[in-house]
Amino acid sequence: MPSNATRERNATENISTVIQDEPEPQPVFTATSSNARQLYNVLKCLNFQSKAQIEINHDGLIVTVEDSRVMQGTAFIESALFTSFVYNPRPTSEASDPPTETFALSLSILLECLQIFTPAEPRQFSNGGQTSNNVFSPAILRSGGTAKFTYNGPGSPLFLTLAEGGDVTTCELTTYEPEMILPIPLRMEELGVKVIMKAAWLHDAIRELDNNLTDTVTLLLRPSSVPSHPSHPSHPPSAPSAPAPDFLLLTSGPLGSATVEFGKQIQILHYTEGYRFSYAFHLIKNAGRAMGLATKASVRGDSQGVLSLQFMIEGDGGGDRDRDRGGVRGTMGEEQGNMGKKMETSFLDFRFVAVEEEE
Amino acid sequence: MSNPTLHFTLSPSSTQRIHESLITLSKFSESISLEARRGILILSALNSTKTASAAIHLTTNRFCITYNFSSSTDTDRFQCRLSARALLSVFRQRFLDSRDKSTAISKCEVQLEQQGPENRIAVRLLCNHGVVKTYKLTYEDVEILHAVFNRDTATARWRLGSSLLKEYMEHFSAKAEKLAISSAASEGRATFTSFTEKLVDGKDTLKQPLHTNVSLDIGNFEEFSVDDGVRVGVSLKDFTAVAWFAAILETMVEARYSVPGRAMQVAYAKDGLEAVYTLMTAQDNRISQSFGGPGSQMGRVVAVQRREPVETREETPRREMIERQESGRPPTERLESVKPSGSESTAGTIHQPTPRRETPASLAPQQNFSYRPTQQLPPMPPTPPPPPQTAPLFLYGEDEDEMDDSDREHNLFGEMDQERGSFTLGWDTTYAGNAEKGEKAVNKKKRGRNTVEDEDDDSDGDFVMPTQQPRPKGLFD
Amino acid sequence: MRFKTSVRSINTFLKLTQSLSAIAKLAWLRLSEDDVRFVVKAAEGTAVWANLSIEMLFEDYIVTSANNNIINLEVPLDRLHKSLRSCASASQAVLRLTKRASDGSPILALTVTVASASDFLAGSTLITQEIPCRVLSASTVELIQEPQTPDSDVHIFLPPLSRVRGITDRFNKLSTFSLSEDRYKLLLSANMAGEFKMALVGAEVKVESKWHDLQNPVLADSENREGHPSTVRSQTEFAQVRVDGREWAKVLKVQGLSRRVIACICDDQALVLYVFLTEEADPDQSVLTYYMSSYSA
Repeated sequence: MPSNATRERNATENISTVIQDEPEPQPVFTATSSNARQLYNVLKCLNFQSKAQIEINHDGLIVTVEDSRVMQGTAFIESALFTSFVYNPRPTSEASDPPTETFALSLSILLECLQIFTPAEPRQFSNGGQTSNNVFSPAILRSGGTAKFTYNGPGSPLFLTLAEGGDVTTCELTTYEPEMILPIPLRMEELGVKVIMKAAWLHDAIRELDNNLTDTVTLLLRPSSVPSHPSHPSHPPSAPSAPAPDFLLLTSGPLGSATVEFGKQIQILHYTEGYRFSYAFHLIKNAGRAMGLATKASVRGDSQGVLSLQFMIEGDGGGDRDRDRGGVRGTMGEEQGNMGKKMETSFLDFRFVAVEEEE
Repeated sequence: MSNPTLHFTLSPSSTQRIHESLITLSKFSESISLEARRGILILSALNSTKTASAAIHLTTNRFCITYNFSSSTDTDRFQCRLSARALLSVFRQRFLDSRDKSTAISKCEVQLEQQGPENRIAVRLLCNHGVVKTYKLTYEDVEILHAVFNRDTATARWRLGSSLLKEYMEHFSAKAEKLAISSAASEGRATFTSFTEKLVDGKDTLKQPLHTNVSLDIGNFEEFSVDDGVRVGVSLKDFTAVAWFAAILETMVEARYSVPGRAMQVAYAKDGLEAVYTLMTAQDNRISQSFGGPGSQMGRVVAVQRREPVETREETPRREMIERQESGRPPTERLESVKPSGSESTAGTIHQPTPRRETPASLAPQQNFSYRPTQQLPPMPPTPPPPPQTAPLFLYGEDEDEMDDSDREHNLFGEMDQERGSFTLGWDTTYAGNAEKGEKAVNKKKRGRNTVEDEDDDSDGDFVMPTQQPRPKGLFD
Repeated sequence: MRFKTSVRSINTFLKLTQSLSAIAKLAWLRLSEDDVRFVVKAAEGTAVWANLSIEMLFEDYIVTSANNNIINLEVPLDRLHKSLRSCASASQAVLRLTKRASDGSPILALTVTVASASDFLAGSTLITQEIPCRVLSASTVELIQEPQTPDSDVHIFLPPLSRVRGITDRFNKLSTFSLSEDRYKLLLSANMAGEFKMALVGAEVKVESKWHDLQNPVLADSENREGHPSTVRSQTEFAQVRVDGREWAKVLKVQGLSRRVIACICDDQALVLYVFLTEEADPDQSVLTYYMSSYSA
């Protein structure tokens, strides 16, 4: 046998050896999820960036991405989303701080690995088929299959083992020093607007405005032009007798202008008259996937125009762990009796810095 | 400066129809013209070479919920032009059923806004969940060019259900350029054939697109009145666009034409919407002598719009209008009527700005030969007779498909070249009663520009086009 | 020369043209009295020799020529595939070699008969598709040789190709995140103990999928078995090849046709895949043979 063939072969076997063995008896972090799909769906909302920062703490994971320093996305994934979640912090000198472990890695690679057993978009040979692989439609993975994570501190890779129906795939992802992303602060004591609405409605509005008329979208509150509906549930505390304002999103360019005006079905919990700020539309679109996945959305803006879009993503009860049901939707898990699991909820928070408005 | 007022409202289904109309029109041009008159709205597009025009006529009392148009000047119309892209971003595909019903639209309002220097078409979409979406689009004033088609001279006419037409069109590869429609009425057959005029040879023969021939029994047509041997060619791409929208509407498609070089008009209607296409036709130059010029010269379909009708034609419209008023059928139904029987008054509509199209143009057998399937069809043979187009393509040897092996070494088909002169049409070789004897000319091999096309992407070859194209590409596609 | 046949199995023919067209655009089609052979070769090196029984695709099959009733054609697979799609509701489909009337160039004409759905009294609709082709001379095809490979070190029945294909597509997507020149290279390895592995080794990620409890086929010829490389080696020792993941994905498109797939690995040299279209007991042993060379590390 030629010697380099032997070396190659050994190299292959070494990879298997390395991946199969636990690196140390007690890893810093190990977690198992029987719902790789839910995890994938939440993390995919941040995939407008390829690299992410992951923080491990006792409560769960915080995953953060940043886009050109004027936009950030953060996912809060609680430990309850996993069937087992064990964090053994390394001993540190700062005993007073709650222990965390933070590193950076390629989010895109992590997401592909989580989907390893899901076929890629089926090729359509007839009509140019609609792909669902766009920002606005969450991919629906086949359920079933487990994902096991192991991490052993800075310098060690993140190991991920996926198993489905007897097939096993092991992944070793390179980790990097975290980039220390400075969070974009939202001044809670100086809120100019707070609105709650169905995420689907915000999703629909952003879809509507994605019409290439302009690069920026303006968020605007103006005094209501119509009298408020007598049964309108919420009145802003600051002006109990005034009718609720109109809440609008608008875009405008040389071909024309487009406006989405929300009606009285949304909840305006707080507003300042004349509130008006603009944002780069392509950054707002980064949150599009979350809009499509979430049930509820909250829109908050402070006096400086920092905008926070928060989304609540409800879990689906886990689904049936061992059976491969291809395309199962959330409600089926409930119908099959979800073994008493409560709905796991994840949160996504997107922050945006306002842009100067051109007159 | 005239200050017309225009305001109308549409139901969700009509709004969807506008979307489909705009998709179709945008296949012809990047700009779409809008014309408003009393009782009618017209959306139209003209391609850049002026060889194809598409117009969607909306009878407002059927198509719209409300419609108000008034003009303070003597011109009783408002004309403007907008970007197809801008219109399609407003009238995009909106899922009427499957998605979240709360975000669906309940009504669409359109209004002309002329406030000072800014002229806009304002579109308001009212949604079920209380959201109001407002678009204001810029437009330019324009004089719209209309297609001219004289029905009096249309000697050929057929009507075919749109789902059947779609079924046939699906067999064609979009990479072929032209579609020839020909009649072998004496045998009860009609054919649709795709071809590309510029032929390649030698090593590049394998780069030619797929060419397709669909031969039908005339019984599939609702009506087929085309002389034996009449054959015209149109752009395959244009015809596919025409057929696509017809299939969505699920209606009867009517085509009228005469000879190659003169326009063909294809029209269909549904629920207050009438689509009229005027396409230039050409000869199939592979198989006939070209009249002059290297390729098929297509004339233009368009005449410059005149305010006053042309003198020489003025009398005819008046006379015809009288005849039409007597028959009194509403315009949109004439294309859907099944097998008109008896005599109908002749009608020809010269599509000019002034004459109104409120009265019907009924069908009339113009030519002597008019094939009525239900009357003259012979009993169906147990097995289909050998179709005309597979008649011997090689005239030597008794076995029709045999090729001489000895030719294989060098010029494979050397012997065939001499035979070629006796071939007439590529597919329809059997009938000799060809009115157009000119087609029995020497088949000159066309050595035009090499239109090498890559065949590696198969998805172009299909008939059903994604409905989102070609509106501005966002992340929603 | 004459070639005329009725197409018997549209679905198989469609899947065949689809699988082959993923490898290359043009195919050498050899028609003889004994069998039907498609041969394609990709610029990147993968070659496919598809040897099919006549009955797999055709019936009422006629082939005559001065060359022992063998006809060799060069055929564009995409147009052949597209024309076969017209057969969906066909009552009959006939394929023949003929000439285009307008210029005499050779074509394969597929004539499809569809009963008229709309009107029972109306005659059938006939669709004819003209597929351009070239007639190849015997001397030309003599130059096309089937690849020769040494005895395989390992042969194994692969897991369901649809599964392997799905994972390969993911591996290829992972490769797009890397910048290295050979980022698409995959390691395929197997042993005589029923184990098969597929691995991607990159700078940012290393991934490996593994299957076990697979079958290793037994060599049919018992004389050759003794001393054959696959029998003298240690059962658990892996033999491997390095392939381009994108080429491998194209090969795996045959998954719609395959009933049994045997992979033969010549360590560090080549991979030969035998894709059987029928079960083992079936007398018809139509098979597609894929040849892939191994890239050196």
